[in-house]
Amino acid sequence: MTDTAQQTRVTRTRAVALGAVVPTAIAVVTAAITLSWLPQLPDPIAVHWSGAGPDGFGPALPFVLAPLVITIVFSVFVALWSWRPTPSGRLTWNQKFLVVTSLWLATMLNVGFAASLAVQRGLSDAHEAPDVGLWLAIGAGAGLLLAVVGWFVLPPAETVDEAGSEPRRVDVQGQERISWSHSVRLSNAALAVIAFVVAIALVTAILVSLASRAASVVAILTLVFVALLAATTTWWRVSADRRGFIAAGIFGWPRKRIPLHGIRSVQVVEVDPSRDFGGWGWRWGGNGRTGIIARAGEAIEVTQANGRRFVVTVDDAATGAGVLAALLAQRTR
Amino acid sequence: MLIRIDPSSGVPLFDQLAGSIRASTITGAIALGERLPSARELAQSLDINVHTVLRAYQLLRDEGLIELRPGRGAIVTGRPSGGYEHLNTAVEAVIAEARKLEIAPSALAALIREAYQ
Repeated sequence: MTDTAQQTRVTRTRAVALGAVVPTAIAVVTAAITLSWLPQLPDPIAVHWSGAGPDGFGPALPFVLAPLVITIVFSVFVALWSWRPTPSGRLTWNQKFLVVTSLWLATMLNVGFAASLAVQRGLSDAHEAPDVGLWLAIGAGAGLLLAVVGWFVLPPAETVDEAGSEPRRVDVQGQERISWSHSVRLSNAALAVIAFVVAIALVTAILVSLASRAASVVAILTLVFVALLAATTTWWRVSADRRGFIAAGIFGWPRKRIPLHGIRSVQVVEVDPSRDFGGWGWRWGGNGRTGIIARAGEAIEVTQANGRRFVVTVDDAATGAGVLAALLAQRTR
Repeated sequence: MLIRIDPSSGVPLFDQLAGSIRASTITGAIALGERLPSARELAQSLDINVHTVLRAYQLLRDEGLIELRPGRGAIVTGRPSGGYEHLNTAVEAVIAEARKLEIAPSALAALIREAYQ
């Protein structure tokens, strides 16, 4: 077996163990314990606290099931996401971050939900339930600790930096003005993931609305906000002209413009969304690289004057990059 | 879609703009159903008057190449009639030949312009 194949195997085992198996185990054990507490709990239980005491009440079962379901779904997602390591068999920064996030999320959710049930055992009226804020903080803290440990157990992260290619400069004569633009639509795979996330948000919103009316308003507003935010990233117009390099969402917002004087160089690159950017949308790719990632494949990469790089996936990237290269050459002439 | 306009040429700007977009639909650089930039956006991009862009868009609409929908902008709905495959192949062949002979793009354009008049 080659070194790379072996490294890939080690990476995969550790990523799945830390990102999926451990979180799922935490959730299953917690659910088993909280399920056994059901007979000792008041009905309804306190499910929401304000400064003065509990202000939302509801059935106990969702509190047993919610952390279990959310943790398992997230674990499956993380396992799939980290299944494809880099060519040298390691994880990218994004993949590593996702794996330890899974540890943190599982710990925080399960400690938080279990503690809110634990403090209510033996109470006859849920109004007497003590505050659980401290436990939520403990859960978040313990999760963070676990995530840090997980980070060092995983192999070192690396950045995949495939060499791009220089575009062929578009020919410009005399006083001719050139403008290039192309639209790009989010890939179906990305749409499926977004639909999935919105569905989770919907389930969470329904669960929370069981808790209290005030919370349900917040949950629904959050859901609408998430859906709108998702919608703004489904379609982009990418332009290259005298104003520089521009990417704008379907409503003209969000919008990113890099003026010509802020561009040091431009090239055409190939992008693998999950590996290079950990997903779709406006992403951070590590190593001073951000991007608007709608799909896999060809992309324009602009290196800014400050050394940061901005990547946009778009069809006909060679022409777009060629236009920028021509405009840059025109400036220095 | 790559658009070129030359203010120093004798051809009116809206005509050049329409020609550039028309060429993009012939080569397939803009697909059917694709949305063109808004007139305001394109005007800013090329540093020309927005009415010039609107005039070009109206011309293309009258030719049946695009549809102008209020609020939704211009959408490519047609291609110039006739089979353009032969023309596209011929253009590619001419360009390949010019590259081989290392003829500058401006010189090639001039050759075609003179022969076509």
